[in-house]
Amino acid sequence: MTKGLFRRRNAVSLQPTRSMTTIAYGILLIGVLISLTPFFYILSTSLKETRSLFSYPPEWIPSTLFWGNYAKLLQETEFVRWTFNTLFVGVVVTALKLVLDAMAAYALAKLDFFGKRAMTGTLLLAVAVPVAALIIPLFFIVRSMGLINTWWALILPALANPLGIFMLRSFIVSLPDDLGHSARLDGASEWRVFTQIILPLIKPGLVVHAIYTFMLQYTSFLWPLVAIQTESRQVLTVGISGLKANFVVDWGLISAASLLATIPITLLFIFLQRFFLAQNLSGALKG
Amino acid sequence: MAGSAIEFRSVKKSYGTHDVVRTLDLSVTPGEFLVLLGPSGCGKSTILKMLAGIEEPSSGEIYVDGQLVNYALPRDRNVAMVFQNYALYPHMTVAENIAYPLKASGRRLSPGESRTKVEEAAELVRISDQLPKHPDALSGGQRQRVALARALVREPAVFLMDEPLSNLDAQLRDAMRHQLIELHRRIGKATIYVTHDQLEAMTMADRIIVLNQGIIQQIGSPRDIYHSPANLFVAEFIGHPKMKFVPGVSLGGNKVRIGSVVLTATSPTGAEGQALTVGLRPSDLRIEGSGENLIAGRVVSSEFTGADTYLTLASDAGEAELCVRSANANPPEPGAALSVSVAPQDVHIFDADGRRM
Amino acid sequence: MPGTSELIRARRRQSLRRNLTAYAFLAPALAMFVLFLAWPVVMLFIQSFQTGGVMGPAKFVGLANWRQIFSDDLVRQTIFNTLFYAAMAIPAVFIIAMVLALCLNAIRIGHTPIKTILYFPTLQPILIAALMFTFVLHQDFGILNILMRAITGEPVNFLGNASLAMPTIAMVEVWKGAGFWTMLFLAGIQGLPRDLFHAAELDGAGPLRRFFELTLPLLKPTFFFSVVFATIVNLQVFDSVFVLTDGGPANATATTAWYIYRSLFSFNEPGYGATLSFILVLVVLALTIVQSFWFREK
Repeated sequence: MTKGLFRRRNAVSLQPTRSMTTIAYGILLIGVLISLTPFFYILSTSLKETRSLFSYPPEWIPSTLFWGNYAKLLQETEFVRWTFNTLFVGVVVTALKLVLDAMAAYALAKLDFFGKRAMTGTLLLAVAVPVAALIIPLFFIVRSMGLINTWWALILPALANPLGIFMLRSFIVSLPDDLGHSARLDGASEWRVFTQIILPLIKPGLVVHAIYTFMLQYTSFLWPLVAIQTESRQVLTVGISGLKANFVVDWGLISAASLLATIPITLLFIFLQRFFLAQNLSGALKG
Repeated sequence: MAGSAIEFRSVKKSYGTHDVVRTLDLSVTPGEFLVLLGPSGCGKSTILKMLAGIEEPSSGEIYVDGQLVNYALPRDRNVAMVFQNYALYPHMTVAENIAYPLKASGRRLSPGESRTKVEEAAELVRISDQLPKHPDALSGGQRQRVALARALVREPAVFLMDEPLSNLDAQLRDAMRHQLIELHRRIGKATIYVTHDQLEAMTMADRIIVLNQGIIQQIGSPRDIYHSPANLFVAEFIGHPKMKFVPGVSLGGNKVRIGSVVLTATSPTGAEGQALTVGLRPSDLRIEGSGENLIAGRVVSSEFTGADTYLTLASDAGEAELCVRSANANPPEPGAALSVSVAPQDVHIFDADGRRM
Repeated sequence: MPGTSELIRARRRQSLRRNLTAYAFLAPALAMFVLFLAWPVVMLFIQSFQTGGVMGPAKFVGLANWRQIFSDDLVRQTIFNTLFYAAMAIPAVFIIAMVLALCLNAIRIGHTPIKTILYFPTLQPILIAALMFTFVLHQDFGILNILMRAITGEPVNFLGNASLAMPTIAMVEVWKGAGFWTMLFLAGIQGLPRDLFHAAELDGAGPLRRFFELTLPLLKPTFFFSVVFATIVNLQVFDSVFVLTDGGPANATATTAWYIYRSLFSFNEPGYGATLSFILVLVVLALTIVQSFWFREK
């Protein structure tokens, strides 16, 4: 208890004056309001009929709750499919990328091999390649593999970016070399050292990696837009953007979809908050 | 090769142009407790790591039990190592740590057998009551024991210990030293022990190898090394307080002149007129001795260390100051005149290259 | 007694085993990297000398794409728009995030709920954030325009006005990104050595001086990562443009990534799009390298 208090006190600025604290709270309040208002507004919108949107002055809190937007979203669109697709692809990408990146990170951090420096440099440089610039060749590559409109089209290219390798590498590098040496002397194969010694010791890193991978996948838009052209195979972001394509835009429907789309990632955030807020990402590029 | 537990043949290790170990020839007999002693950076840990398979020698051959192991995997070398920082697996309990060599080597042991072995090893190092704990709940000394138990459980041909006591406080270090000697006597396996602490080396070793800058300075029993240091480096490195060195000139036979004093040594001093270095240990100088090898001087300062007082002496043995140990409860005060004598076998003579004559 | 040749063979076997082990660990990730990142970059270069390919085989056209691209007004416009966007969004989000981080660092109660709420927008896909912004910006029912009407009596057509559209899209990024950078900067600030600040305070340095002479210089590693990362991400701006303006009005929000997408799906000119993509890759890589050197030297 005292320890926690002590830490908290250490974390704050040096003796902030009362007026400084008041200003700080004021600014943060504005920040909080600006962050939240759009969420509340689409919540309110999603519970109104679209045509009542255009009345002025607006009805901030709808007097009668209109569930029609949600009903239409769930019944007349493929929203549920999109959600499932997004979560499914997200989980598969996260799991695969975790395994691939951890293995590669272990080799880069603790093993000695021919071409290590050159490879590390190349991969580090590749982190900077803008993915948006690769959609044209990726489209042709994935098409030639016959994977357009499949989940593989979303999964495989997502495994290519090496940023996650460097993030995990920074965790593994910080482990003492002697742990591995000791395990090898104890008879462990390299695979055992990796799975039984290294992996259990970088669990926080693995969780952060998984969260970022999943979040990146959940929020991706451009590549699914290119790679998937069947509505039922589409992911949430692209599916919802398609709702806007009608001649008369159904704003109520869009607000309901947008609001529901925020729920899975927000839930994940609330459960894993301490990992989200511990920004270990920046350590990745320092090595 | 037959008969030695470990053999190094012309082993070299260099990083780029920097030589860490230069042409090491060495053999360790079964059951021997061998200490590699030297200052940090002398290459002693590198020798251990080459033996363990953590580092690869640049050239030369290493044998364990007659098997060439230069390029063998660590696990195929039949050696166990205790690391300076213990290298305990933080996510495993003490019992799991000790059992890990049994598990990792893929040996098919029944859970009962494995548990028996772990308990035996824990019993040997007296940590049986700590088995369910995690390493971070243990004291430094307990972690040390766990590391030992983990090495013991493998029943290797050779034990390697890399400064295992350096992270313990002085009291614990003394206790662990005795336990290690006791343990070695019971197990009877060849042990190579790396340290920079001469006390550990002197008390534990069957043989000591003194290393400096990747070169063996001297191999010998603790007594040999103390009484007949092979060169200036060993002479200065071994013994506390340090041996004092005084420049001298050979008078032929086994006589040497330092300042205005003529000393007789047991070793020959070479051709007359040759420049020499004479080494005298503080503990070898006798206060108010008489007759031969008498040095007259005056106390400059004194240092009280408890049982003994060390007196710094300006003497007629030249510019350099000498140091003498006094066990007297009332040693002479600074300014007092003091004569000391030294037995001929305690006059250490080194030639211009620093080698013992 | 082994001969020298046996020793050499043993050493080779050992070295081979060591390399094979390491490459076995690297292989799966490397395969994905080569197939879906390295090879596409090479393909960009090849495709920049081609035309067609979406239907039927691609044709070699020599330097035609390259010649055309340097005289294409729309390309020039997209590059300008993209840089304009990044030049607005990055400093704006950094300054706001730094202010929020300093405020969070200055308060004692309520950290966690405020941090949590500030992070909500960051969690959302940019696409969803952009869609949410239509409800902020819409001329009839956008919350900002309801406010405008109450104040000035006139709604503002944020997205329909050529000079307002790009700043408005930058605003989406600021709204969404502020939480992310706030947490990053806050972590940086809280990781700074406290003693230095106490010493500076004892020396009589006020809060402003402490900020400019200690906090900012000491946060250099954080800024390095932030600037590089933000540049890479923001030069690819696409989602919000696609859903809010589709490049309009009058190409005022046509960004490079948007043009690359359109060249594949609307204009059916993948070769031309590849040329522009290749330029984008080079520009981002060059910027990243320049930034690395710049930060290393300072």
